[in-house]
Amino acid sequence: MQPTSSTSGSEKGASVSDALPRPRLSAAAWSRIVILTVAVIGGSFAAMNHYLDPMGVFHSKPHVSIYTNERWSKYLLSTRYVPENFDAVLVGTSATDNWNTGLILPLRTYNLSLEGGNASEARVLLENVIRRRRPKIVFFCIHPYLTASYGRQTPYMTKADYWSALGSLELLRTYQGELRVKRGTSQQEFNEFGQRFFNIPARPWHATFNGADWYRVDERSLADYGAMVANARASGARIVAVVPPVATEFWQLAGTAFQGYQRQLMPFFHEGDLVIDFNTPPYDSLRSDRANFPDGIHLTTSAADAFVRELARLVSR
Amino acid sequence: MPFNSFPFVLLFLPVVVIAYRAALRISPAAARGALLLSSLLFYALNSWKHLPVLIASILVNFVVAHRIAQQSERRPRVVWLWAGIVFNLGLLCLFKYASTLPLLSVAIPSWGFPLGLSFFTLQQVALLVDVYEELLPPQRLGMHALFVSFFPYVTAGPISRGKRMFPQLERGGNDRDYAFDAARGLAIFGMGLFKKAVFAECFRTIADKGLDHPYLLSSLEAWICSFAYTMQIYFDFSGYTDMAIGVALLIGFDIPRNFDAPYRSRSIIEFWQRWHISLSQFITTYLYTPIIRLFRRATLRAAAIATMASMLIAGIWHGSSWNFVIFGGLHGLALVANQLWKKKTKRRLPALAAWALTLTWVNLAFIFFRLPDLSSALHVSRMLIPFDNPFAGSAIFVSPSARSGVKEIADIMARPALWTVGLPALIAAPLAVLGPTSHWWLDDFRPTLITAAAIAAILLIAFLFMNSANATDFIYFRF
Repeated sequence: MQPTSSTSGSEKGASVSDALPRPRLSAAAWSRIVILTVAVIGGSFAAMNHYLDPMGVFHSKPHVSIYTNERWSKYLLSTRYVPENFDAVLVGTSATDNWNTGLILPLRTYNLSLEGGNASEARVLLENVIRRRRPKIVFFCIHPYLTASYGRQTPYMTKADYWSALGSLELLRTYQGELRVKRGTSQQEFNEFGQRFFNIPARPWHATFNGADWYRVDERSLADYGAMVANARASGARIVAVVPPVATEFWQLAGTAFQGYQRQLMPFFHEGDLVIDFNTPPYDSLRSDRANFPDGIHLTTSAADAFVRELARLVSR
Repeated sequence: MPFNSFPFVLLFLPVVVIAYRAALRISPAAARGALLLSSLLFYALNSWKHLPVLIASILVNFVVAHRIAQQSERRPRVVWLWAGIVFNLGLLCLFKYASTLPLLSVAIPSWGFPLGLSFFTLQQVALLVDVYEELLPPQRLGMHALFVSFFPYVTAGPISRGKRMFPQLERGGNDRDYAFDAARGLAIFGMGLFKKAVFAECFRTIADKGLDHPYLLSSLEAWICSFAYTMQIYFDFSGYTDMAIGVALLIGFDIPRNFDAPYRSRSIIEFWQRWHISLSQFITTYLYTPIIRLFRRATLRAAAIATMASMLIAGIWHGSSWNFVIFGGLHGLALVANQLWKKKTKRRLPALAAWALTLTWVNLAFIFFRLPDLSSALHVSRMLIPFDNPFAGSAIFVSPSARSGVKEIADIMARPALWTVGLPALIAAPLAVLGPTSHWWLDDFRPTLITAAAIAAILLIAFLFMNSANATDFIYFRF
C-alpha cells in the first residue's frame, strides 16, 4: 500500500485536496492545539490528584481509607501512609484480612494482608514499609496460601503504581467508591487499619480442604517468605509469627498436614521470636464453635476480634 | 521503553523529533547521524544486551551487500547472496529455535531473544535480494545501519523495503509539507495508542481470563475468549503499527501500512491482503515467487504447493512450536482452498456467509497462535463445536461460582469493569468489522477544531489507561 500523498496540504494539483473545503486551521496550529490541550488538561488532572492525594502517597495524611482494589491500594499505602502512621504491620492472606489490628493496643498496627495474597506480594509491601521507616513489630501469618504460588498475581503492585496515584482508572474508582460511601449508597469495605469487612459464605468444609494441594509449596515463594522475615529482622523489627486458627473439625481433616507445613516455615524464625499458634488447646473452645468458621478456615468478624484481642494480650506480655 | 510508555511519549519522542528537525537544518547527513544515534539508543533502552546482535547483523549484511555488488559474474554473486541468507537465517535460528533442540539447548547459553530480530533479519534478506537483482545499489554504512535500525520499525516492523526508505533517508524525510505530516503523525499516533491502551487491553483482559484456563472453558466461553484474542491481536498489532507510522510521520518519514480492515475480509486471500501487509508482501515476493519458479509451469498444483510451503514457513517464522506450524498450515490450507474455489467454480458465497466463514477460520487459527501448547489449543478448538449444550458449565450465564478460573469473566462484565472492559469491547468489536480504520480517517484528515478535540480526547483517555496497571507489552515484540 502506497502512502497517500494526495492528502498533503502543500501539494499543488492534488485534486482530492482541492475539492475539499479549506481547513479552518493550519496544520501547525492544529498540532499546537492538540499538544496544549493534552498538556493543560492532563497536567491539571495530575496536579489535582497530587493535591487531593486520596492514597496518601505525596503528602503525610493521618487517615486514609481503601475504597477499591486491595492490592493497588495497600501497595500505595505501604509507600508512605503505613510507615508514617503505624508502628507495626501484619502480613498475611485472607485468613487474617478481616482481623481488626486496631485492637492491638497500644501499638498502631496496619493489616497488610491480601485476599489470596502470596509471599512475593507480601514481601513487596513489607519492603516498601521498611524502606521508609522501621516498624517496631512485624506479624507474619503462617498460612499455606502464602507459599502456594509465586510472583504477582495481578498486574498491580509494581513501581508504576506509584505514578498511577497521579491519575488512573483505579484512582477514579477510589473517588467513586469514596463518593458512594459518603452518599450512603455503598458500605465501607475496609477500615483505616486495613481490616477488610467480608462475609465468607458458609460451605462444606471438605470443599475448602482439597488434600495435599492445600499444602503445595512453591520453593521460590518459600524463599520469598524467608527473605521477607530476614529483611524485617535486619531492619530491627521484632518478629511475631502467627498461626491463624482453623476450626477443630477442619483440623481433624487437615491438622497433620498443617503441622508438617508449619515445620517447613519454622526455620525462618529464631529463638527470640514470638510464635503464636492459635491451633493449640487454650483456644479449643473458640475453635470448636462452628459458627466462628463459615468455611472452616476464615473467621467471622466477631471471632476474629476475639483472636486479635488475644494476640494483643500475648504481644503486650 | 516501548511506544506505549510515558518515557517514550513524553521524553524520548519529543527530544528526537526536535533534535532531528534541528539537525536537518544543518544538513541531511547531520540529521541522519542524529537519527542513527537515537535509533541505537532506543534499541539499547529496550534491549541493551542484544544491541551487539543488531550491530553485528548490520555489519555482516553491509559487507555482504557490497560483496554481491562487486561481483561481475553471476556465480559469485549467487554465492554471496546465499552466504548472506544463510547468515541471516542462521542468526534467526540460533536465537529462535536452537534453545528448543535438545542437544543445542545444552550447548548454547540462554541469551534471550533479541528484540525485533525477526523483522530486521527479513528486512535485510530483502535488501540483499534487491542488491543481487540490481534493484538497489549497496549503501554507505551509516545509511545501511539507519535503514535497519530506524527506531519506528526496528522492534516489530512494518518490514520496509529499501526502495521506499533510502530516498527518504537521503533527503532527510519525505518531500511533503512537514507541518501537515506531523499533524497526521500526531493523529495516527494517538489513535494507535488508544487502540493499544484501551481496546487491546480490554480484549486481553477477557481473553486471558478464559484462555489461561483452557480446560475449564465451556463452548460459549471458548467462542467469547478466542474471539476476544482475535480482537486483541488486531488492536494490539495495528495499534503498534499506527504508532510506528505516526512516529515516522512526526520525524518526516513514510513507512508502509500494515493493516487495512482485515476483519472485513470475505476470503482468506483478501485477509492476507489486509493483515500484516508488509509480511504478506515479503512472503509473496521472497518465498512464494521463488518457490513457484522451481516448477516448470505455474499450474494450480504448483501454486498450491508454493502457498502451503510459504505459509508453513511464515508460521515457523513466528516460533518453533507445533502451534505456529498449525497456524501457518491452517492459513495455507484455506488459501489453497480459496484459490481452488476461485479457479474451479464461478459460484460465489453470499457476502455475509463468506465474511463469517473467513472470520471463523481466522479465529480458529489464532487459537493455535495464542495457546501455549498443542493439546490445550486442540482442546479449545474442539470446544468451539458445541457437541452438547453450549451453555453447559458456562460460568458467564449459568453458574458464576461453578469454576473458579472462568468465573472471573463474569466479574469482568460486572459493574466495576463495565467502563474499562465491557464498554470498550462493545465499541471496538463492531469498529473492527464495520467501522472506518485509522488509515481511512487519516487519508481524509482535516485539521479542524473538532478533529483536534477528538485527538486530544483520545490521547487523554489513552494516557489514563496507560497509567493504570493494565499496560502490557506488544504481542509482536515476542517475534
